[in-house]
Amino acid sequence: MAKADKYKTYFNPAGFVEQQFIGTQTPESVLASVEDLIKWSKKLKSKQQPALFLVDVTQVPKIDISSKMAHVRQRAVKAMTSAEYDRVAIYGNVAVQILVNTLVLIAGKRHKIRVFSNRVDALSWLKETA
Amino acid sequence: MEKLFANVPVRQLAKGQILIYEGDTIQSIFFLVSGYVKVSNILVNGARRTIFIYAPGDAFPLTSFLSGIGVARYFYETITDVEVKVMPHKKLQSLIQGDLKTGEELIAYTYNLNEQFIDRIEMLSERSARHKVAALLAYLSDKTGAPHGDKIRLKIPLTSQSIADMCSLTRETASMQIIQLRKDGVISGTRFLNVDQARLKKLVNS
Repeated sequence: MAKADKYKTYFNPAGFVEQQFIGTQTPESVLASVEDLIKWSKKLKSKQQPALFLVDVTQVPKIDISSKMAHVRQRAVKAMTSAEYDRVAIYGNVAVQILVNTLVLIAGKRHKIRVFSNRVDALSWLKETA
Repeated sequence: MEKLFANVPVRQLAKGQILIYEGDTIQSIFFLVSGYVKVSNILVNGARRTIFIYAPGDAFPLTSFLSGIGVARYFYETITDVEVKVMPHKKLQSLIQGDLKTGEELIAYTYNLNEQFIDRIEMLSERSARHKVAALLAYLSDKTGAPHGDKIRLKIPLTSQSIADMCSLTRETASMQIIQLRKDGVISGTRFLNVDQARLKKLVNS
C-alpha cells in the first residue's frame, strides 16, 4: 500500500481537520501524517481559524512500539510541543491510547491533546471549544 | 520502572487489603517491591473473577493511567503480605514530562502488560475446565513460579476457590480438576503447588 493510501487528511465541514489511518503504518506514513497536521495547523492559524483535529486510529490493526518507530515518536512529541493548534482528539484501541497518551504526557500537552476509545467522546471534547 | 520509584519510601501492607476499588479515580501508582496483588472484577452473577496477578517489579494501574481513562476498571487486592511504593500520579506525570527515554520504557512495559491481560482474557475462554486450569497453572508458573527441584513451585497460596475465581469455574469443578491433575502428576503439594512443567506443557498443547 502506498504512503498516501495509509491515511487520509481532509477538512470536515463540521469545523475541524480529520485524519484517518487505514491499515498497518510505517515510519514514513506516520511522519508524513504528522507533517500534514502541521501544514493544516499553519494554514488554519494564518486564516485565524481554530485549529481543531480529530484523528481516527481505529482501523490500525497493530501498533508498532519497536525501536524502528522511535524517531517517529520523537518527531510526534516535538510536533505536539512546537506546532500551533487548539485541540487534538484522537480515538483508538487501548494500545493506541497508551502510546499516544504517554507521548502527550512527555510533551506536557494533556490540556490540548486527549485520547478516547470512541468517536463520540472524542468529538464531544473537541467541539467543547467551538 | 524501579528507577522511577527509587526515592519513594516502602510501605508494608497485610494480605487481603484492597488497594484500589473498581471505579476509583486514579490518584496514585503502586510499585510492588515484594508479594503479590490480584486484579479482579465482579461478574453479573455476583461471582468474583481474578483476571491478573501482579508480581514484584510490577507497577499498577499504569494501563488505566497511561491510557488516559483515569478510572480503575478492576479491584486490586493483596494476596500475600506486600511491600509497595506509592507515588501520586501527578508526581509520575512530572517525572515523565520531557523525558522521552523514560516514556519509551513506560510505553514498552505497559504495552507488554496489556498483551498479558489480553492473553489472560483469552485463557478464560478456553474450551474446557481442564484447559482453563492448565492455562492458569502455566500463567502462574511464569508469573509467580520459582525452580523447586525439577519442578516449579508457585509462590502464591492456592485453594480450590481461588483457582475457581481465576478460571471462571465453580469451586466444585475446580476441585475435581485439581484432583485429576494430581492423579496425572501435573501438580503436587498443598497450599503452594509444585508444577511439573513437561506434563503441564503436554496438557496445554493437547
